[in-house]
Amino acid sequence: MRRNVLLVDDEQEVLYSLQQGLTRYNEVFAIMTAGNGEDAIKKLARDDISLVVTDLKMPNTDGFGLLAHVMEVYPDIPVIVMTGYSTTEMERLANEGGAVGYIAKPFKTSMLAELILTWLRREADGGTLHNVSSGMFLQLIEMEQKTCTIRLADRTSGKRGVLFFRDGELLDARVNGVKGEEAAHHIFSWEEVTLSIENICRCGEKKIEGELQAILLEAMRLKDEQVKASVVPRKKPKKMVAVSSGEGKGEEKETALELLKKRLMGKIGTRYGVRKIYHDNAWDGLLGQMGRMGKFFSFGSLSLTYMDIGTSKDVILLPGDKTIMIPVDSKCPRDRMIHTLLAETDGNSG
Amino acid sequence: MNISMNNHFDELLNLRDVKGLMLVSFEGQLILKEFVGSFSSEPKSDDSWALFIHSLRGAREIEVFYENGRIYIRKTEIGYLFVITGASAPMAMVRLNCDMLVPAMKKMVKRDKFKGLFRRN
Repeated sequence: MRRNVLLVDDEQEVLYSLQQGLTRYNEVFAIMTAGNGEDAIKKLARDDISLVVTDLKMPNTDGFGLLAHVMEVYPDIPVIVMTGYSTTEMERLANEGGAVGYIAKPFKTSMLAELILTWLRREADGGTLHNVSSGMFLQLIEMEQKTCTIRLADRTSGKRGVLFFRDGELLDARVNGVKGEEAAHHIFSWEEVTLSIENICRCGEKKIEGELQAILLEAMRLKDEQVKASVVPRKKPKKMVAVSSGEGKGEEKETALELLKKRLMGKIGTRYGVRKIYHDNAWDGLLGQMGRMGKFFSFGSLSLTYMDIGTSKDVILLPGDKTIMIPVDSKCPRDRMIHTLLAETDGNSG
Repeated sequence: MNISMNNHFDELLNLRDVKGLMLVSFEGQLILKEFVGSFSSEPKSDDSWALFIHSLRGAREIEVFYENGRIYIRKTEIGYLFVITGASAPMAMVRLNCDMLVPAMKKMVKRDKFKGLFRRN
């Protein structure tokens, strides 16, 4: 996707000349201009800007003021500083203020273009994914507890947003002028997005306190409400067909299961919304097949099977004398739960 | 993303610790297989696949965890895709790649361009 670069300088001839010089890169980025810091701040709030190139000495809000504003409000947007009064001290101040590049006037347009391209490429140094569904997106978040900045574009509305993660934890989100949890709700409601991952997170402060799972569920709820308000009433979802074959029966024989339940419920129950753990021999045949396949590939014994059966509930099956069944919400943080279960049931699930 | 089908499969196979791919039709025919390196024995087309596919009960996605490896199974337009991995494969990336692969396979099936993607073993 083509990005917008905002050039800020009070000298109109400089803006014009840079804009002309950079037109050859307009397949990669478009140039927007602002005559001073205040004008730039308005454009940042209104438009989708990927990078700022600013002069330092300007009337009203100068380049340092603009740099401070961007660092505070848009920490994902890199700022390149250009100045005709270059000194070592000024360069140091710009770097300390958060500028990612410093360029002394006069300079060749190609030098600036190279700097811009370098920083725009970093937006996607962790990869780009197209037409990603919200389910896939959730998997991304769960992935490897990443520290990253994720930029997304909603395919339907064309809106763009940013998510900031540190060690897999959502720190902040931004969509246009909206920030924090409200922005996260917007983003998580997008069904099909293009996203790019930058492998750093410049967001210093945690502004979203809620659990990721709770934010996701709230986003889904808000989306459902919007759909209900605008479209015909939805049919009630079909009730899950109970597949339990032994829940609550033969109490004295269920001791092992009860122990496992107690142990697992403490770890995954409240956290991941698991309400039932029970024996279900309806899946014995499948687990037998899975076990044989594992032996074929010399993978050792079967530990756990996670199945998306195409309903709102997914299924976790633990092997043993009797198969243990754990229905889970299909929106649950799958990887975390699997890791918890594997750690908890290691050698004890039977 | 305009990536060819082969690239999708290559991307999957190039992921860390991915050991192989298999595609088995809903009727239990082993359509395609590709392995990185070698296993002591590779799966062959026989009747046991039909039983296995039947036991999946039409599930959309299955992740199977073993002591020393994993198998990710994904329903596609023409059957089940099996991704055979070691224990350290990035499962989220495997899923993501399959999420992109499945619609691409659907298009290929519609265009009848599916043959010849893999060498047959």
